[in-house]
Amino acid sequence: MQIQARPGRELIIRKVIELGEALSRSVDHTVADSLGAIIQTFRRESFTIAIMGKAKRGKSTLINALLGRTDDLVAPVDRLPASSAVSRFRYAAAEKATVSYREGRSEVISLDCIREYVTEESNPGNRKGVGVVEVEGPFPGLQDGLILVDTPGAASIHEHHDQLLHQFIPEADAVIFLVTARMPLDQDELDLLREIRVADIRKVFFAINRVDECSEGDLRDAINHNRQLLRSVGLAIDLIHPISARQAFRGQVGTSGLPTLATDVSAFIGQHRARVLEERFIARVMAVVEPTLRDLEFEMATTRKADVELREELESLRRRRGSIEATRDLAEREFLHAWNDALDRMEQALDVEQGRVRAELVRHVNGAGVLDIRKLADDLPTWLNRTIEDHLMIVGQSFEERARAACEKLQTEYPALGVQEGTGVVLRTRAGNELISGAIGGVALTATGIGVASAAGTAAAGIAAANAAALAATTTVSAPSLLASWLVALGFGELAPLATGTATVVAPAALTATPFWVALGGPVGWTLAGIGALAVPFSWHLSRTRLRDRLEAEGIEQVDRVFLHIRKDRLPALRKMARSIAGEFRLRLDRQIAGLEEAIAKAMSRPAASPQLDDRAAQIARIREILDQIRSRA
Amino acid sequence: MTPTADDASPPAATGTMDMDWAGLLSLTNELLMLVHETELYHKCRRVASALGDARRSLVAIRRRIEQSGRRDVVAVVGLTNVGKSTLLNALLGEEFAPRRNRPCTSIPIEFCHGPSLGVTVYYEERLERPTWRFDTPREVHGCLERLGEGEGGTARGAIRRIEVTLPSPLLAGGLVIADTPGFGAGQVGEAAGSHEAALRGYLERDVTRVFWVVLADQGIGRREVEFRDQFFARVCDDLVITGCEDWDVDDRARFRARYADSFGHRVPAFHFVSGLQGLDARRNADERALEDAGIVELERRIRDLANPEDRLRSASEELVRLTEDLAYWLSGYHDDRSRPLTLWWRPDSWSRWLAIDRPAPLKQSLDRRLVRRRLHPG
Ligand SMILES: Nc1nc2c(ncn2[C@@H]2O[C@H](COP(=O)(O)OP(=O)(O)OP(=O)(O)O)[C@@H](O)[C@H]2O)c(=O)[nH]1
Ligand SMILES: Nc1nc2c(ncn2[C@@H]2O[C@H](COP(=O)(O)OP(=O)(O)OP(=O)(O)O)[C@@H](O)[C@H]2O)c(=O)[nH]1
Ligand SMILES: [Mg+2]
Ligand SMILES: [Mg+2]
Repeated sequence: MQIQARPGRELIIRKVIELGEALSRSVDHTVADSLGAIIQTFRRESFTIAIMGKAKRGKSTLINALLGRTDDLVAPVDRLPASSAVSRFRYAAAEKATVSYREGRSEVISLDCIREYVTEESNPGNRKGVGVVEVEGPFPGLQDGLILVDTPGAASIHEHHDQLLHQFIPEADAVIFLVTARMPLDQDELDLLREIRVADIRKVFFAINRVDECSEGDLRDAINHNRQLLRSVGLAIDLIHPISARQAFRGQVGTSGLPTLATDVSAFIGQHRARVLEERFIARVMAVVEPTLRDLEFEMATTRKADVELREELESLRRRRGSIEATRDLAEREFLHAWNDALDRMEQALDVEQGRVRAELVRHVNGAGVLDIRKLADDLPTWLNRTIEDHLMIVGQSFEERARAACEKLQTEYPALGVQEGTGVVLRTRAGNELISGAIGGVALTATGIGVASAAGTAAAGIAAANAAALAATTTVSAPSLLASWLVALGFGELAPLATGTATVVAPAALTATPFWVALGGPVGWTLAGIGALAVPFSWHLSRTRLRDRLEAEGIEQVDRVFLHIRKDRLPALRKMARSIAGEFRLRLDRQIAGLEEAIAKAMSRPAASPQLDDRAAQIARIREILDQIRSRA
Repeated sequence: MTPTADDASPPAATGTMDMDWAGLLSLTNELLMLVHETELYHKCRRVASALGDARRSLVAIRRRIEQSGRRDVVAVVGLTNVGKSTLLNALLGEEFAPRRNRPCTSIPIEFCHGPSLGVTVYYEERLERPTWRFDTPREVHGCLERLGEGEGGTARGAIRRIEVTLPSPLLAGGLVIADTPGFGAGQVGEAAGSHEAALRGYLERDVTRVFWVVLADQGIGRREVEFRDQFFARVCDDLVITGCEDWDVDDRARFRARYADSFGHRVPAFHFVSGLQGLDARRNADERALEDAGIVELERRIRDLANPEDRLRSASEELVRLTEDLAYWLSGYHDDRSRPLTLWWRPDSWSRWLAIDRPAPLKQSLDRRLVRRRLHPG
């Protein structure tokens, strides 16, 4: 792998330096500092290739094999979750290991002691506060400035491993993604792959490890499954390498499949190194500059306007605010109406079911033979409990469906602020997409921090709010797929892939996750409350009652008590729930608009336009120009 | 609460000889009543919440007792592809359940005792329940494979569960063992989450006990722990670690030590097995290998569960264990001014409990534990 200096390389660096300078005149030095660090890495021309995967896929074993080690001193291997730190391996004539602690200090250690710092067993919970371990040595294959990285496994019970991994991901230039033949690609692995893609890492080598321990048929099953899955999530992976890291580590390199993988990797690096490094360089620069630039533009857009103009926009926003009131009122009223209607129906259905349970009870009690009375008395609490529950379930389910439909409708029809690239702030109302034109000069609002992060964010937050309100006491964590289908159902189809993947979407429970009839029982859940509250009083009375008609009367009293409880306690609570859902929606929109107003007001209070302003405008234009130039190279 | 490890000595003589399911159930009801009424009675939130915990456990025990009288379903549950179906085949001695090296089982399959081999399909919304009779396990396997075929097929979605009858002595006591779809499968498109949804529905409606299967070489992941906590922690006392063919005693001990902490105070019994080796051993009728694969021990555990008397005993033991935990907690309680709890039970509830006229040793054994005393020194 020869490093070819691309003629454009220095040019790009120069551009980024220019960018840094242009920025440093407007913002504090942190941006310039991070740009400096990014440039430094780029200048070193080292190529970082990281091995990632779930815990126990054989990452460390593969590292050892690739480094040509015969022991696992530098990358300890274990049957239990092991690697607990990010370890970087690079070439040097002499062996040396350096631990960098999270708090900044670093320390040279002997290779024999690496295990003390990078394994869960010797450093449980990362008590030692290790950040990264750098290992140098005469490792074959790394001469060309290749850096190999061992990462902690994802999704184990040790959460801090995931944190370290996630922090590290953007530093990789390419990834070797390791799964095992034993375990076809699962949801956790798909999540990790998505995260790699979000970091804009475009090259992923995909390897199936541990093929030594499975049959050909099993391997075929696994490969087919993985291929199909990768394709359907839109990951372009052409080659899947079956390997046995352990065989390679034990010296049987020929049959291990490792040579093919290594050839693939080095061929790729040989061919695309410069391009990939440049892409990664640009991606990292963008990640730093874009948010800053948005800040600047917002500030600019607001300061450049004359006070009069700003005042006008504020006025216009306030007027519009009045005009959305009508839409929102309507949406809310319709929602409350639908919800209450569902409740009314439920109340009616309750009457019907109560009658049915009573009738069933009478039949049940009278159907028992004289000699069975004792058994009947003993079984009655259980029987009642089950029967009542069965009947309530029907009622609860149909209410649940109606309530969900009402929530969905509210979500789609409620006015919402959103950001649209290029056009600025958009107010979505029932009449379609209405624009607050020029309210702040058509710039993206992301910078204002008023929570209109993006259309996606708004939707997710809205759903979170609705669900949180709806499920108040339930703490079900939604399966991502559920959230996704919920989004699809709401017409946010394009967000679904995002929701399936990102753990950051913290919507508590999709409404579908916990049936409403569970929530009906109150915070303890119907089933539990059912028994705790119902069976208990029964058994007390009933155990002393052996007369058929007393049993019947007692039973009916219990039935009535349960239904009364639902009518008296649960129904009003559910009615309140509707108001709190609507309230959440109202609050969210109000907060957003207030934030917008505040931002404009703040802009008005700034010192009047100065001669510097033109200068600033020129600066931003300049930054944009440089950015475009840089981007056009990618 | 006292740690209740699987190796803790069994509670002292609980004797259930004179107790039947109905008796146990009504005693549980009385206990539930005592706990619940006392929970509502205590002003101190900490006490109330401990009693609430106890009540919830009691409700679970009660549910088990209640169902045990009728149908006891032990479900084999775990992450996708860990080897649930293989394990089940090893237990049943024949290759009934289809297994593949990809998400495979898509519908819960129940195995129960019957005079001959047969398969019955229960639909979600159809009354009809087609039944087929077969002569060989092979044919059953073929039938199950056809029924579960195709990822996300529509016909399959309508099936609620499949019941297989077989003349297995293991199931003679009336126990039902169920193979279930795995969770956490990488599925996309139409089928996304379908296996998990099928599993959750089944867990909610039909299951009295869970054997949780994990893979030795993979350890227990966060997704697995979360799924367990959320959907079946209360009915799971057995963790089956499969794929242990080359795990020696030390490895097993380390595995146990690493994961035991994730279970709070209710640590399940760890069973280390190899489903694949067990299946091979069955094929070769090699008893020794079956023992080595851990299948014999697991079978024993299932027999215990299946034996009505043992089931009854284990249920009463659970009651005793729970009261022990509760008594331990209550006796160690101190309020803000470090005063112990002088009154454990709501007085009228307590006198009612004492008045229950049941000369059963179990009742006496519970009484002994529930009487207020000082367990904690100082
Ligand atoms: N049979 C077989 N076992 C392997 C292979 N590669 C790794 N192993 C074994 O798998 C286990 C885990 O290997 P590690 O290299 O520690 O896995 P890891 O991915 O680094 O694990 P974490 O660091 O905990 O995420 C060890 O017992 C290895 O011996 C292989 O190709 N074949
Ligand atoms: N080495 C080894 N492989 C096993 C063992 N048990 C199962 N397997 C293999 O694991 C794969 C999946 O086994 P299944 O029994 O279908 O797994 P499952 O948990 O039922 O899978 P789903 O039904 O999809 O959730 C098959 O290829 C089995 O041969 C075991 O104890 N040791
Ligand atoms: Mg490792
Ligand atoms: Mg299966």
